[in-house]
Amino acid sequence: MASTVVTDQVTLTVNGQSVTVPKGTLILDAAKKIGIDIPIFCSHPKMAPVAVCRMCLVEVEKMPKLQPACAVYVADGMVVRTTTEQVQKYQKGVLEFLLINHPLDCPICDKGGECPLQDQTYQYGPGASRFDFEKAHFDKAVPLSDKIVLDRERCILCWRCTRFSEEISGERELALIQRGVHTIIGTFNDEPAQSNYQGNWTEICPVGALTSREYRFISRPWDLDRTASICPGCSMGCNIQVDARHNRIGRFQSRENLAVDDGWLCDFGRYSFPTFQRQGFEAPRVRQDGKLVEVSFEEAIAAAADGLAQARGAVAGWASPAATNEELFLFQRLFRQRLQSPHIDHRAFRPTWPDPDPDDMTLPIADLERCDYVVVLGGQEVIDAAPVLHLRLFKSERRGVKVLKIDAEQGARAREWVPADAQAVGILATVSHKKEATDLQAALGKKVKGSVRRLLVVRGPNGRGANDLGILPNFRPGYEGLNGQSGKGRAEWGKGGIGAAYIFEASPLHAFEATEDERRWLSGLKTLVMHRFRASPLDDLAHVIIPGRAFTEKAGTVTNMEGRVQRIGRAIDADAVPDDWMVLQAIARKLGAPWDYHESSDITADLLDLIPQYAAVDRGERVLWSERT
Amino acid sequence: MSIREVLEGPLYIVRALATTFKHNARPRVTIEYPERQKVVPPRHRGRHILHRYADGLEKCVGCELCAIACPVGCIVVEAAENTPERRVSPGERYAKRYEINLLRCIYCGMCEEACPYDAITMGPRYDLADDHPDKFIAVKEDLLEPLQASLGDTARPSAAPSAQAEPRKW
Amino acid sequence: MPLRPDTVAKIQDYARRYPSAQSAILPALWAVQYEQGYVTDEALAEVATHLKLPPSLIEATSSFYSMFLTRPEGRHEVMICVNAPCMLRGADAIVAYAEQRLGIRDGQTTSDGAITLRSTIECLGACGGAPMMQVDHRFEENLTPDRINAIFDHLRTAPAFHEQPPAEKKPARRTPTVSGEITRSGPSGARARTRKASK
Repeated sequence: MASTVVTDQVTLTVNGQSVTVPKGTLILDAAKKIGIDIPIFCSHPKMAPVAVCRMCLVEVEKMPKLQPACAVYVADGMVVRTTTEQVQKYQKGVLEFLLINHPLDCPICDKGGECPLQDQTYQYGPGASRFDFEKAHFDKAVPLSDKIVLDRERCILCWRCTRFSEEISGERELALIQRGVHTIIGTFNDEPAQSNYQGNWTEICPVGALTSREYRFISRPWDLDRTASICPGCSMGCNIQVDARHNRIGRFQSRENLAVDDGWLCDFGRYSFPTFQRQGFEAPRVRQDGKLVEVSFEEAIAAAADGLAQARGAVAGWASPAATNEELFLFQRLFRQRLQSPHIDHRAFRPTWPDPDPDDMTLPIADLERCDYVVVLGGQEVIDAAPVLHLRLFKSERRGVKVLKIDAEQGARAREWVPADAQAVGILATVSHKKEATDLQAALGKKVKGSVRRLLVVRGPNGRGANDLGILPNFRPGYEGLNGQSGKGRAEWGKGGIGAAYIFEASPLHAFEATEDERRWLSGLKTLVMHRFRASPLDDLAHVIIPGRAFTEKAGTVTNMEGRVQRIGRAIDADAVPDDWMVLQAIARKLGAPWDYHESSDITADLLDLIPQYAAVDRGERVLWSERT
Repeated sequence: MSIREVLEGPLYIVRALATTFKHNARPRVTIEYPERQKVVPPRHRGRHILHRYADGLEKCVGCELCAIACPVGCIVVEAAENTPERRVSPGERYAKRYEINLLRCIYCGMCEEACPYDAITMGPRYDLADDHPDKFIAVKEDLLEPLQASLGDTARPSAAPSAQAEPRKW
Repeated sequence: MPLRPDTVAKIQDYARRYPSAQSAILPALWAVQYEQGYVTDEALAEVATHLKLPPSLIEATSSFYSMFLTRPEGRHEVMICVNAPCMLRGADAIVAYAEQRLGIRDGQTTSDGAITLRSTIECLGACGGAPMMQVDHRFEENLTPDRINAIFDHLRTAPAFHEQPPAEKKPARRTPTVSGEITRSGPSGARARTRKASK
């Protein structure tokens, strides 16, 4: 007998083709590796196999009955056949059973056109039904919450949503109620679902049972214009696809990036799109004799440039952390070079706020899974600031990572909790608790043998980019100091010495949010320029109002909290409104700047000259400031 | 020319005239258009009609299958949800906007083929001339059959508002 | 209606007995039904808090098993088995007699609220004493019209199972009779007859 070498690799045959995969691979994944498609409904790569839908039955030699490919692990020498007559007969049978009580109301179903049940019926199913009786009827269009509509007739009981609720988000809100033919999906006592991750149920549902209220009957999938972009909700930088129809946003769908979002979105981000829906085109306005008068863009830009130039040296500039890197790059150049006013900021109002530094993101999001201990300093506050982090933390916890969620003030508890022999410790905090996080990092650094890294959740989809590009009174782009020529930060603007202000409020979700005191000093300014997408409470104080574009209406790059530079795409045409960077360029040109950019990508090129680390954008990677020379 | 040919000549004239007079007695093919309209065959593919159920509710559910089946892309459909206050069709969904560009339409009848609810059919109307291209965009109000026409039609199944529109068996 | 303290104590005890709280759901639901006669949504929520489990899981479990009642029914539950062995020994006639005697059909409750009849029950595992029925949590075997009369008369006045003193709530147990045949203890006044005696 020939001795066999024990390896972690297993070789099997699928439909006569040989494939070698690691031990512990499912037949389904082994087949997928060589391009053999096995139909599935209940199986999901991120959830444990349950094999309830029986769609993936395949023939395995030496096994008496067909086996579910989604639940059987490969073995050496296994011979799998997926297209035999028996398999085809079973596939037809399974589909016929699934369709017996399925209402086949595809014409009115939002899933129609992108429905696995539809597709697989066409590909593997019987041509016609032999079922002549009345179908069993269940409730239709049940509001599961204000975001989700459940159609119990369409449900094929694949358990994906209940398993998501159990294994991915851990909330266990959805359950299978009743049994047998009466089984339905539901929440306890039909109370509205509270989860912040419900939108994901609609994406994993293989039929039209779970659909979004916001997307209800908006479009057919084949009508959608799809644009790859980044979620504007928070600094997590989840990859999304903006689906638009007739130049209006229909929905945000997840565009899986395993390093960032792991394929999930939170409801805050997913259903934030109505905020970015354009309501119409408004004209720029300029205050003349106390009243706002509609003017052309040229006139408004001239008025803004004029007003700002008069206060040269004493202009305050606030840019939203939702603006793109390109816009922020021009913004700080406009202020530092043309207006000689380094008084720029992007932060929400806080009396004190420690300055950012590149070490705030030494812990990549995906590395949370590779830590042994993670301290969430601030608990729910951190989760609220970047909800998809919860899914990553829950996944890590299920894999054995110890997670401690405590209030920001309880750093001492975390110091005791982490043992000295920990290999990798992660600290998560919001940027407002940076001091506590750095203190804890320093303390643990002394105690713990392994590495201690931190990740701060910043504000806005490009809050990190705003730090990197120096939208701060005391840093140039790339965290270069200003040699004592620091400007005034947002907290000091009200204390005098500011004659004009330019507020670039790119996103309604991350607006200026003036305090009472700030409103008071803003109302005393000679010139206040409001450059924003949607009407702002500050409009009534403004001297010049320049309408801007929504996050979904521009192209550029944004940097997420871990420093990953990602591109956003222009999903909606808004040509009647000049792009935000064009307005900044036009103002700068009025003030004598020789800028001549034609595309936002031209600015990216200049940006890369200044900060070479941002070349990571072309690789979709993180900016590694430690590589700085 | 033989004697025989001379004698037979008038005979030919009589035969030819007989053919002419025979047609005099036949029914006329031409009609007094536009005072009188042509009767079209039942399967004539003229301008589209959007049908209603016997109780006046629209058959169209706004599924857009006609739009995707249309080889020239002349149909635009936007759907919306029925509410208890405003019920347009029996099920959950109805067509909020339904437009056909009649200039682009090639009257092939694919929309009719694709429709799962028999909501759209090609109608008998053929006189579609007009004086401006904009007037050839037929909107839903133009295409819907009049409410009265549907109410008298007992051949069509009635659909109570709560009832499901019957899905086609496949 | 909140659960009684002794029921809560029982549930908490069950939660401690198992490595996973999920295992304690069924005993906890039984405790609720023993106390209240049926399982309300409020009770499900309370069980969830005591077991520290999501309420959806408790509802999923309770709705899966048909023996947990979701609304109040008769004080006593009478389930007559109609599977093959019982049928061969005359279960259909027994069902007909019981229906006629009580004036109700399968799934209904008598007007005085004493008895809920279920006559489409699958095998209860007492084929040796066919025809048989289960009254509350006890088996009654070798049924005859006389025995049914006696049992029903007793049930008309007997308190509901969950209101009986704990001593009487003994689960059905196999007890050898004098003649050596196996039978089950019935309620007082309606001692089970042996097969020999019925002949």
